[in-house]
Amino acid sequence: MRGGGVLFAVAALLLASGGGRLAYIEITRGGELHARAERQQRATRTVAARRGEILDTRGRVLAGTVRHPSAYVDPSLLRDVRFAAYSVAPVLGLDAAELERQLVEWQAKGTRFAWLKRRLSPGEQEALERVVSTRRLGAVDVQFEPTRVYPQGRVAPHVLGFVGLDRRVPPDDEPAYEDLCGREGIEAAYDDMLAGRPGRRILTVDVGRRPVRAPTDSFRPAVDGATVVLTIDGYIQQVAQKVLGEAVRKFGAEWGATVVFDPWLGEVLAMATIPDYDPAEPLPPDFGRLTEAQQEAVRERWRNRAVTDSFEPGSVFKPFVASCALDEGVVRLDEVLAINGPVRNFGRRTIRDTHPYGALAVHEIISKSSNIGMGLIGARCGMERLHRFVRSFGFGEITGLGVPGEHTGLVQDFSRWNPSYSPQSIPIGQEIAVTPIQVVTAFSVFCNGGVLLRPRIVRGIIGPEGETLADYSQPVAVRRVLDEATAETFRQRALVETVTAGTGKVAKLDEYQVFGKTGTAQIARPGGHGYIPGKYVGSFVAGAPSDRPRVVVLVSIYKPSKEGYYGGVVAAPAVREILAETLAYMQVPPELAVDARPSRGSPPKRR
Amino acid sequence: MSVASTGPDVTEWRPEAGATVERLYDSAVIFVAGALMALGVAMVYSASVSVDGPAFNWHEWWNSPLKQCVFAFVGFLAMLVAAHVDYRIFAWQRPGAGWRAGLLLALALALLIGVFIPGIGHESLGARRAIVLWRGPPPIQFQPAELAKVILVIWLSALLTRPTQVGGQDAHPTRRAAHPASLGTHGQAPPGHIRHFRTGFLPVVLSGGALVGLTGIEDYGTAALLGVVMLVLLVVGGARWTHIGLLGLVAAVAGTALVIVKPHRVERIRTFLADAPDPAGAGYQVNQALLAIGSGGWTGRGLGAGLQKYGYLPQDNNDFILAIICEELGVIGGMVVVALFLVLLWRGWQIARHAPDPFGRLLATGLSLTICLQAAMNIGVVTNSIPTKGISLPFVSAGGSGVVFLGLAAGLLAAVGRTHTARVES
Repeated sequence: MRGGGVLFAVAALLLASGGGRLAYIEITRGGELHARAERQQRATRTVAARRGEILDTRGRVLAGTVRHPSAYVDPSLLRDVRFAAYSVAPVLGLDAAELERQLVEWQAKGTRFAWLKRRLSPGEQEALERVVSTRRLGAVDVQFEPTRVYPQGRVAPHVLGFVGLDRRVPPDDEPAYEDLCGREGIEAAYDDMLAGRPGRRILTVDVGRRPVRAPTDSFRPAVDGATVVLTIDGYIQQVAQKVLGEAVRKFGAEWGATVVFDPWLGEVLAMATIPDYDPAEPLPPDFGRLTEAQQEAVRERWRNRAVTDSFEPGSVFKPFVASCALDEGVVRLDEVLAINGPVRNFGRRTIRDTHPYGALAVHEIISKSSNIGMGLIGARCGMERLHRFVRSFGFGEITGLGVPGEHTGLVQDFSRWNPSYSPQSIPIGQEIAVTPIQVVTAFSVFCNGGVLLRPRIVRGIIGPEGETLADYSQPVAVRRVLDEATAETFRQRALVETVTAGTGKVAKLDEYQVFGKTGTAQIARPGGHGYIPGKYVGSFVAGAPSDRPRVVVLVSIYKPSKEGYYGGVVAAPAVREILAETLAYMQVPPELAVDARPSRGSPPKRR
Repeated sequence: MSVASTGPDVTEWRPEAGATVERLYDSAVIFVAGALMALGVAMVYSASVSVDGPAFNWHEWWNSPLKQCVFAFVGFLAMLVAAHVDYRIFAWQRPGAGWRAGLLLALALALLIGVFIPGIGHESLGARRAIVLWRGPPPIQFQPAELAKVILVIWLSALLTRPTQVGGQDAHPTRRAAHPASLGTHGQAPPGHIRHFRTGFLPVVLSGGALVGLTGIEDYGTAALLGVVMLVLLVVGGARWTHIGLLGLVAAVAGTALVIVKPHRVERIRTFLADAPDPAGAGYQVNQALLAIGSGGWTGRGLGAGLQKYGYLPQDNNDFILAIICEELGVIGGMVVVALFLVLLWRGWQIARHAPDPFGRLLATGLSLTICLQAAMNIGVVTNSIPTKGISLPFVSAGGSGVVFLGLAAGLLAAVGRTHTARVES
């Protein structure tokens, strides 16, 4: 018989080497194995933040977010496809055989995510969750899909813009996730604020991706998006859209734009472009099949033309030059200038009036919109002054409204001004292009005592807990443009006269003294020199009441094709209607005595 | 036999050379095996946890980790009972005294064959390894291969120490002093002696080989273990090296044949020979075991806090329980388990060295090596050191047969340790 000590030693060696092997694995590969285990055991789930609302100035929800439950499946986790298909299909009202075929196909392709049914009803959601938990279908789950809704309907689509589902990449090294992303308008400009910050749930899961409660789990709640409060008033906006839409249709225009403005606060009360679009469905369902030109036309409809499009203003521009000339003492308001119309030559330049005037006082030049008279004033001012006037009213630069795509308009560099043309062209609103928001902002100078304000469309931003994140409710003065007295007299004499006795008579209201200025401009050829024959943009900018103006309205009708094209014809009635509705809605006390009411005309509607 | 009287200074006390110390049993073996069983109960329970909570069910305890509690308790009792038994009842001390051991062999063979009988044998996980005793509830079944481990050691130990025909009635062939002639350089081994091929070596190989072969049809890992234990006993029992070499050759051929019989065994070896375990295919299990070991680190996630048991690691309460131990109790915890088996091995060696008779010596050697080699094989599989085979961690892995029969084995080992013959220390 042998001792066997060697055999025991061998066995001990084998055992000890097993223990050594454990240590060896831990030392050489411990970190790597740990990381791999963690990767397979971890699931990171994004907890979506609710996109903030966009409210109008009175707190009406213009754009909000609802979350629809949608059922999805991770086909790779399904063990028994048939069981899953026949469990889920009846609950969701799907065809089980078809679903089974689909699941098999997904599995073959290695799909990890597929929608089963989107926008479940509450009943479907509840039934699905019951089936999933009782039959342990860990591969099927419900995810909430956010949808942007517009409870007020198609209100201010161009201001709001719209959203699209897209991948959002957080600034830190966190993974990208799908979210509603602002594409146009306020949605795009304030996307960071509206989006909020998604929460993150790091879960430990079992092999079926079911969560295991483990101490390493972490949860960071989502921070919902902030609420953006606009200066827009939903009611005025709807009035403006309706009235503008009627005008655009009536005159067969290519488009029309309107801005309703508070001249004291610099707040945009309404801003509309017609034609518009439905922000809930910015793209028609068959967008992919449209031709290039048709697709471009769809995108054209998204343009907020009140800020993105500029055109030659024409006569609407006259008050800006004339008021500055008064302010600097170049002319006096009552000074009578010899017109000797209807045609007059300024050097090589010929200026025409629509009517043959002999002599006009300066305020009559405005109210009757005499081109020759403005040419005389322009000649007296000289180019340097004119350039300064134009710039002081803020033309040639963006107003800083804060919506995307704002255009600067076009004011030629002074070096390119032509002494034989510009002194007459600029005062009658040629050689220059302006946007509607610029005109309204500049026109407000006459209403608030001579100060140019920065227009505002966002009043403030409210955080998810109700805290104020930003307060923009205070007016912001850019500069003083006119002496207060000059602004007052110019408004009360020249601009009121335009409506009472001049080109803007159509805009007259019974209870309020309206003041304004018409404008009819030819449309410059896109690329080069000259104008498109027979194409005009008719504008009217007006305010009321005249003693202390509360509201300024501009309507521009672009390329009207029927029933006239003068600003006093195509735009003034729309301005009148918007003014009447707005003043009544704002409960502005009537300025004119009831007795003084002219017999003709209907009283403004009250609501 | 006289026990040396205790002097006043206890620390100075030593038994005289050749003196025999009687005690109840070797308590270290009981302690180590008991500790491993207790660890097994805790870890099997921990591994049973799923997302739906622990699989605890008082009404169907046999379907829950409570089962392991019961088995460990039965196993512990079996160990204590066996420890109190006089192991010599299985010894072949006189001609004709081997019938008890022979009965055990017959029982083992019958049960191993019974596995293949439909209605009695039970198939699970693609292998027929269990015999159904009672269809339940609660169902009672057991794996004869586990019993075969113990019986092989008892039978071979008895057979190897049976009296030879020439040596007189109570002569032991392996006791050199008693039979100098039989081991002479020129002398022929007497019939029945292990060195005698036909009457000594062949009966051992045939009877043991039958057990190994029958086990190997369905359970290659256990058969390999049994084969190794058989070789160990032949070596210790004094078989000729030429015979052992011949047997090794035959065993290699038979082992290869058994591998080829089952395709999944080929697959496992191919997986092992590949550079890294293929995580998606056949190497999935080993790969997940390595992830468990790695993610536990040195000190582990804490008892019950492991994550690989949530469906990632199959067989997590059985063959791969060590991976869960390493994940929850750390590599240090795993090394403590290894250390416990080393203690057991050390005790086994001590018991074998001091055993009062050759039968006890072979028995102690065989039993302790069976347990510890099985542990080494299991650790080798879990650490991707040897190809995957279905072999469990003794005392710890879930399963009734394993705990109960290995408890018996440990108890017998402890019983051999009852009689401790002091050796001369120079």
